[in-house]
Amino acid sequence: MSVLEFEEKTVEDAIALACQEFKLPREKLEIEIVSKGSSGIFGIVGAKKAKIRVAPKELSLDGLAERGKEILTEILRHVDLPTVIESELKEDQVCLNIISNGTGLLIGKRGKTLGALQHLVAKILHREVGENVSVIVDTENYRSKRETSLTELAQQLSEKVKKSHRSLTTGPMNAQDRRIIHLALKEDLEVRTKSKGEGNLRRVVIYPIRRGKKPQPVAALEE
Amino acid sequence: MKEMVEYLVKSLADHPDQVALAEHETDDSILLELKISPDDIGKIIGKNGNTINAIRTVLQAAASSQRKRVKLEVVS
Repeated sequence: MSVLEFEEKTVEDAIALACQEFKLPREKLEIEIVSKGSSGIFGIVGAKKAKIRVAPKELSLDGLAERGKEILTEILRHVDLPTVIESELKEDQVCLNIISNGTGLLIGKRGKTLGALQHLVAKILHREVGENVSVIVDTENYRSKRETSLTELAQQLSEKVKKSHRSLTTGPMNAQDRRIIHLALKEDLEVRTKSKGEGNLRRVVIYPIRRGKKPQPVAALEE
Repeated sequence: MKEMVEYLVKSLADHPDQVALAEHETDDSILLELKISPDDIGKIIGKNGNTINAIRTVLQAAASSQRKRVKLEVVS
């Protein structure tokens, strides 16, 4: 990212200005002091301005994980729960695991709270580094449990579709859940999957494939 | 409760200095009224209200841990 120069009466003022300009806290800036500046004699004669050169610090992936952990800790500080957060990097994804007392309060209905925390951490991180960071927030293995049950659901639905030769639709799901369904049935050659609908109401439709015949017209059935 | 929203909104806003949050408390519920710079309103609400709803969801979780109800409104 860009390097900018700032001139102010004192180094402190210049740094403050730089923070404002980059909209970043001081720790996130690489600051090089070009000249310290002096107030001159009686602050009139020979006054020199302080000059600094500033660039935003590039965050490494490890740094991102660490920062994600800090953000999440800050958010959860205000929730009346004992929480410890572990951060980990998995294939360029920042994984944050919340260890708590297991009340499910942080999961919410169908993972709503967990999803909200994830959205907010990702958004704040994105704002700070200027690029999209994929963040996963998990607690009590909720995500992996959900993956298992969704994969099971996908398998059951696909069996039904194969028997009845009619397409079936899942309930509304978020992108993460839909992805699990698509992946679960990717290898299955007798059905194909497609997402349908808009926004929060997107669902996965599972169609039968019959050899030598065109797929039947879609009759979207409620799950 | 209020600090949490303040932290979240300030981390997301372009003008954190223009974030003002008023708290009205009744017996068992709290109403938070958020005022922000017009430039930031869209950002805080997010696409389809995703961001403001995420803030509300997290806020409700925090509130229920203290057995309270809380509402968050963006006012302009």
